[in-house]
Amino acid sequence: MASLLAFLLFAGLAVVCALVALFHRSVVHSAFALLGTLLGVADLFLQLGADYLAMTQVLIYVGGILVLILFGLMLTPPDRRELRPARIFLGLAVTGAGALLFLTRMDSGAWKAAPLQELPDLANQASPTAEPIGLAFLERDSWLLAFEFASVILLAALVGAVFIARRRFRVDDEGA
Amino acid sequence: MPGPLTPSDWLLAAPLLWLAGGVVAILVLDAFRPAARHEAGLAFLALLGAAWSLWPLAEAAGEPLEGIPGLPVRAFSGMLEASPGNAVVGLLCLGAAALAGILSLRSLCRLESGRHRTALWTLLLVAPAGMLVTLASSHFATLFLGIETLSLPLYVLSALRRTEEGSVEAGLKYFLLGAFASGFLVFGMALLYAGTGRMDPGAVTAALEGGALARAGLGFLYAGLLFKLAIAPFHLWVADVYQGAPTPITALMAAGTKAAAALALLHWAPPAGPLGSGAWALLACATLALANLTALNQENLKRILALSGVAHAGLLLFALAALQAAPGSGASVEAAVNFYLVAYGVSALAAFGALELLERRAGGHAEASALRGLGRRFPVAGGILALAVLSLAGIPGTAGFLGKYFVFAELVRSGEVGVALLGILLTLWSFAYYLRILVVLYMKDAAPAGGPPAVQDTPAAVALWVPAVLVVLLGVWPAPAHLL
Amino acid sequence: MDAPWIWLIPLLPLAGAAANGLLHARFLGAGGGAAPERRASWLGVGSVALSFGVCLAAFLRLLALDPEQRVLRASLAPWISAGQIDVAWSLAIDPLNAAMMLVVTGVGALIHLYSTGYMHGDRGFAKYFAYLNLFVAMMLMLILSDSLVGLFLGWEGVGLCSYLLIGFWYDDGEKADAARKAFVVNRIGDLGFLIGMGLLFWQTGSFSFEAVNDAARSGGIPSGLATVAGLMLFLGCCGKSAQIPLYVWLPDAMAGPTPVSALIHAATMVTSGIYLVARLADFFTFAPGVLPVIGAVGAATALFAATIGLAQRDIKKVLAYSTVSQLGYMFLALGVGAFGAALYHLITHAFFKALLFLGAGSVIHAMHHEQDMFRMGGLRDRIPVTFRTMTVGAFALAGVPLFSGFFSKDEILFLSAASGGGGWLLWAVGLTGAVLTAAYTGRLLALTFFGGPRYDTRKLTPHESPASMLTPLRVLAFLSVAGGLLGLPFHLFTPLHDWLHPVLGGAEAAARGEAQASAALEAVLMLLGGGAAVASLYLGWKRFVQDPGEGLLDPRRGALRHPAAAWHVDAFYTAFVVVPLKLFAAVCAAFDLLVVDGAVNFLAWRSRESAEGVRSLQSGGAPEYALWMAAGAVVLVAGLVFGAL
Repeated sequence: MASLLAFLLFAGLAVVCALVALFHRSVVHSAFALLGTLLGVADLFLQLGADYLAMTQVLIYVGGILVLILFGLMLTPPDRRELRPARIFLGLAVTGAGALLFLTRMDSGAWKAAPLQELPDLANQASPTAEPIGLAFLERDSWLLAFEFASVILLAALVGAVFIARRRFRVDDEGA
Repeated sequence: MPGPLTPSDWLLAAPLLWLAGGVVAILVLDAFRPAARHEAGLAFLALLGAAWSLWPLAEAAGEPLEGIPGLPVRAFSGMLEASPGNAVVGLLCLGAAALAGILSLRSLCRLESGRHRTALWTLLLVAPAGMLVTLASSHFATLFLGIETLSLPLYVLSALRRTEEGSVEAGLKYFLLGAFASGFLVFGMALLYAGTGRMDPGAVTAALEGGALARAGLGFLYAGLLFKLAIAPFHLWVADVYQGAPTPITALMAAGTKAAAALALLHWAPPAGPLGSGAWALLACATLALANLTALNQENLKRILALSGVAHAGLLLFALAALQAAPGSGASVEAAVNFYLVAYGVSALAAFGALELLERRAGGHAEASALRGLGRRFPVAGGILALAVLSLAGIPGTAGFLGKYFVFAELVRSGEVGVALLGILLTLWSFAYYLRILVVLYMKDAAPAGGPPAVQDTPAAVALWVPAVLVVLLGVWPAPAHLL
Repeated sequence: MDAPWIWLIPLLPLAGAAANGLLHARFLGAGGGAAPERRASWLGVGSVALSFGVCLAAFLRLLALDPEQRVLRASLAPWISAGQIDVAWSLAIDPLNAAMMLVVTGVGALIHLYSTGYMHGDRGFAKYFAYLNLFVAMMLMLILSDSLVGLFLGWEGVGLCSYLLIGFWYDDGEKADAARKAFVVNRIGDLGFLIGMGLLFWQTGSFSFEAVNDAARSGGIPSGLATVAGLMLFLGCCGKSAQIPLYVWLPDAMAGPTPVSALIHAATMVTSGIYLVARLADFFTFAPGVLPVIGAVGAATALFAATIGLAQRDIKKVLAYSTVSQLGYMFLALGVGAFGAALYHLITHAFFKALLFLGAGSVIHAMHHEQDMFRMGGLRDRIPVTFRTMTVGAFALAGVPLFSGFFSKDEILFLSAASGGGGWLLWAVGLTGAVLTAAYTGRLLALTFFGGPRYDTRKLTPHESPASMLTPLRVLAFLSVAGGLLGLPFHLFTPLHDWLHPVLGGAEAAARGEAQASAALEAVLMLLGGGAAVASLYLGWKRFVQDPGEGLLDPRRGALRHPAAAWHVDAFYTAFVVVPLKLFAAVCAAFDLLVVDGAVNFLAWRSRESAEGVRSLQSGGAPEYALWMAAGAVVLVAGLVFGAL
């Protein structure tokens, strides 16, 4: 019962904050509302026994990305052109279709999740999950390749970020 | 279970190690010797090394490799899986990156006084690494990482001409929509995992037998993949991005991204039977029709070629339709797809490469009005572009013809004769805009030379012969790329 | 046995063609000149001569093998493998095509050498050698391939080269027209070839000659289908080897440079049809009713073309009709099952007809591109070497005893007379043709070399050709005499027949059955044929040496006005094929303009209209694109969840 209550509380927080983020007039308010969503989701992770994931969520999304968004928003002049009625209508139509699809099939029991096979059942483990996750990243038979290869993409992202952040030089030797 | 890497692991990881090693070498040397111009050499070395380490697999063609059990080769407990035919497509991706590099030597490398050399060459190495992982992916992790790794460098490379609005817009648009599509992809994977508990291609089969959760996941997964492959209605970005991006990068995107995404889709395609061929055929026809319709009124040759790429992606779905309709045709369909990708890839490389050279002569424009009659003024570049266009159109004697032939042959063999006829009609319709390119190149009086005189680019002119010769060679001798 | 090196045979000329093609670009840049010409000559002649050397090596290798095992194979790589179709790039040399390849590369090398003199100073010198080398490569591909597909590739390749070379001087509209005519007429034949090939593949599941011949021998091909397939293939042969009804392109093909006429339109390409029938000898033997058709068409063509040859004014046209006629003899031989005799005549004809054409080229060269025999005369003192060598060729063509053509033609006539059934009729037609052949040969000699000059001696002093042109003439003159040794009558000495026996023996035995004839009959026929030829040659010479007889060709009153107009066949084709086709085309065009174009224009207009509509999709706005993507995703998911897909 307690867990259900906790679930409802934090899931509700996440959903309500997401709605606020979507519909609030001020983008800065929206960004702060996003904070609630991210924290709510982090707590859901915790309740599922994924302590490592919850921590990462808070550290990276709340501590890093959200702050970046706020900086970005403060440096950008507002622009309301996007909200043409036709586009809002079409967007609502597409979303509505998706929602309708979800709702019509919701009660059929078809949405039931299958038992997990690949990862250890983290939800029932009392111990911290950081260690098994860390080990899984370094074993050939599980996630070694993905873990190592992720570093390549991060490197590329770094190079790309440096490129974008660099000062512009008008001098252009091309074709000279 | 921890254990040392097996020979198969090494075989499939070696090209990635070469490419990643190249990236690290460039960055490290750049940190200590910023003045030295080593990037291009190191990058070509890494690409050559990757190709060299991929060669044994491509060459194996049906015979198991020494010390490696069976074909296709599976590595890292099924994270990667590749057949000799896939290796040929992998070589195409590496070649595309190399050609993009050679085409950039005298142009993109000199942007902003050559300040972006490091970024250009490292990203040109990362992109094919992502393509290799994508086309061999047989696990959600490698599929997602591969697609992200091939996309991220291309987002940046598309915006390499920072002083040009079109280029920046292309990069940004590609990035936003790509991120959106990646969202679909990951969401789909999450639902599939939730619904089936699996992360390998078996999840697709399981999902089709399972409940709505997994099926919805499958829908999102395909939405993400079809975006990369540019299938209607996920294709709208292509024309803008291909046009805005620097042409060497466009060539890489056209040949490499498409090939990688197509093979990923083939790996993750549902097994024959349960889905039926109708949906794939419908998507294919819709994509072909939309691409043809859009291409008819375009004035920009790059846009026309971009939409031709969309049409080619659509045609590829006919192969999936054939796979659905005829259980047990997996090997020959895969051979057809591999050949088709190589044929389209070399044609697109030749086309965009030649267009780049002509563009420079026309003051950096690919508008039909600026390229008028240039085919006669520059016979080699014009001739190669014309040859590539003939191949894209599917004229017999070119690789493009045989590519289409193999796909339609699979379709006919699977019993879908009606669909095949419809597809052939739609393909014939596309002749209209291919012909237009030839008309622009040869039938019109030459436009007055615009812009500053172009720099003599011998490496690019020489390198362009490679895809051009391959277009003809594979057109009369398909066997090297048509591995059953 | 495996011999991968035989790939060098076609690849050497191919490399020569590529090198000369590259040289052509440089050549134009340099504006011609002696040095680039020398380079092109070395490449052109050298590559073919080297190829001839490899052919000799292959021949010696075959000779060392046991007669029943004389096959050299070389498989390069799989070519097309899609479904049932499995074709490899592979060559196989057996005695039959070994003989052919020696002729092609040997005579080819001589004609290349000759061309270095003949084409001297031409703007397209390197281009010419590129085409000529490419032709040799394609011809060798045609001959050496072990399957119908490879042969067809070469077949089309030589057709293309022929087209390019006939229209080599394409600035001249007439020559370009001649090239087009050759191309179009050959397409008709190729259509038959393709149908025949398709039928055979459908029935036997293979394109390889061995498989087709084996299937035919073991009765694996139903007889009705075999007849249709055989006739279709023969239609292809009629196109390529200029037989009735498709011979009309060959006389016009003389528009090309004369060495081209010698190589392509006399010695090699036009004999592909004979080679194809011999290659599939087993199949043709077992296809009911096809061989008689071939024999009849051959005999008719032999006689028909000979009559036309008697009434031409252009020296090359005489030789062209003579070629059509001689090819008719070869088909006549094939038709009576004398495959070996056909090959024998093919080889001797390659020698003496190449000699005659090259001699004619030398004459034309001396006369500054004058080809009308009525404007020649008395040249025997001016160009003595050409005169002597050409006389040898003419004697061989006319069938003067002891010259090579005598033996090979005599063998064909004897074997058709001895073939039973309508054999005597074929013999009579053939003999009449032979008499006419001797007559027009005599006329050619008389008009060209005898009598007084009929050209303006003040403006023109004919001079002998350079050594590069005379050497091939001398070599070919020698071969035109010595070629007879390949098969002497009465089974005295028959190296060619013994050589070909492992390949063609079975088919010959099956086709000719018990038809045997006595040596006495052979002797009588030989005396008759030889005597008639000599007499006719003399009479022809005698008739025209005093009076050129230009009046005979007068279109209204001349005795020879009908043959002079080629029996009005071209006019007939124009009236009954071309004009109706043009009318039909006009009707189609009108229909096309009014109905189809209307519909297409409407469609195009519609598609442009809808293209405008579709293009508005392509608004350039990322949010719109995202919206469409989202919609697409919803449709995909809905389809999957509701099981509609």
